Amino acid sequence: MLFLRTVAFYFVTVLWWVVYWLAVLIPVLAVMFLLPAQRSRHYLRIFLLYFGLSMVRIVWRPFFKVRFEDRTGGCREPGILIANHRSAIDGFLVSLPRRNMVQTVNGWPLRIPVLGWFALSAGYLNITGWDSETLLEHAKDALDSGDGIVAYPEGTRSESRNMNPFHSGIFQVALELKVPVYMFCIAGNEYMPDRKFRFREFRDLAVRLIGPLEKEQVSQCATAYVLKNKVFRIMSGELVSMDAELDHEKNI
Amino acid sequence: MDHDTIVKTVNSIFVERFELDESELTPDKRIIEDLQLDSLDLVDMIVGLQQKFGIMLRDNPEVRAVRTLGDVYTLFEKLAKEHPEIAEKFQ
Repeated sequence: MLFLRTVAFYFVTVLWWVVYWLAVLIPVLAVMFLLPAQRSRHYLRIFLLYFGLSMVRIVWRPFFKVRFEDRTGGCREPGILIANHRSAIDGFLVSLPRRNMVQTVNGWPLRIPVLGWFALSAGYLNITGWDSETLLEHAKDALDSGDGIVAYPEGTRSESRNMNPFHSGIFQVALELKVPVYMFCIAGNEYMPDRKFRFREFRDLAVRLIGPLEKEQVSQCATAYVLKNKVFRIMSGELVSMDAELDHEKNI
Repeated sequence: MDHDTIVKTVNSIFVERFELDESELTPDKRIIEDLQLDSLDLVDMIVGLQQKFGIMLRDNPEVRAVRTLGDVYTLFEKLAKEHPEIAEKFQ
């Protein structure tokens, strides 16, 4: 049963991938070739946002439901959104706040034919391949156009309830640019899917957007290390309570 | 410059820049594995040490061999002997 559900999951995922991008192909090309670079990147991110959102809210709905809570009190100021990273579907889940955002990625996804080119065209940030000045320049460009930045400072999927230690790079960007830091906590998907893209179970997920740490609070941190540990502590606490809530709901 | 002054000065960098608790700062602590500093944090650490001791470390090959807090203390004991201006700064 689990195997058949997994096959069905990947089938509809790939199908929607093809259908969506074929459907928006002409507007995407128009945006890319007719608008100035910064506006073009902004609009390409909108296409990516609705791709992620449609995947989570419509295509994956028969497999699992996602409960999303925005606890930022309606704060929409562009900033850096720090997400924990348990599984490969996290990149889609960050569309849930419906905020136009650019994601930070390791170098390899940017080398995937078509997808990598599209991600670069949308202004995605190569966190491992660029030097700090280039990263800062591109991050500033995204924030100046009113969009946020999503980062996964664990660097790689944890595939467990524990977060890997954070890297400081993106927190240095937050300190340099003096922007708010939002925290995006994802619980329930530690094996959805695992590193070999197998689902060990299908269960409902909980996603919570908390914060932000206002720019004044960010500026008060002496170093990126202090900021990253502050964010790590807040997110760890939130994730423990979210995992407990999910376990409780599952056992009812 | 005595050992205690060096330990106290080095530890002050970790307390001020990284908000670590002084009780955590023992010579056996590995800077990367135990204190969780990454490469960017190491740059912050070196900048802090340079400012505090008034000496350039960027081109010092011995900095690369540092693994534990104890290694940092030993390095600065050696540097203090080689560079009297460090000791003068703390008198």
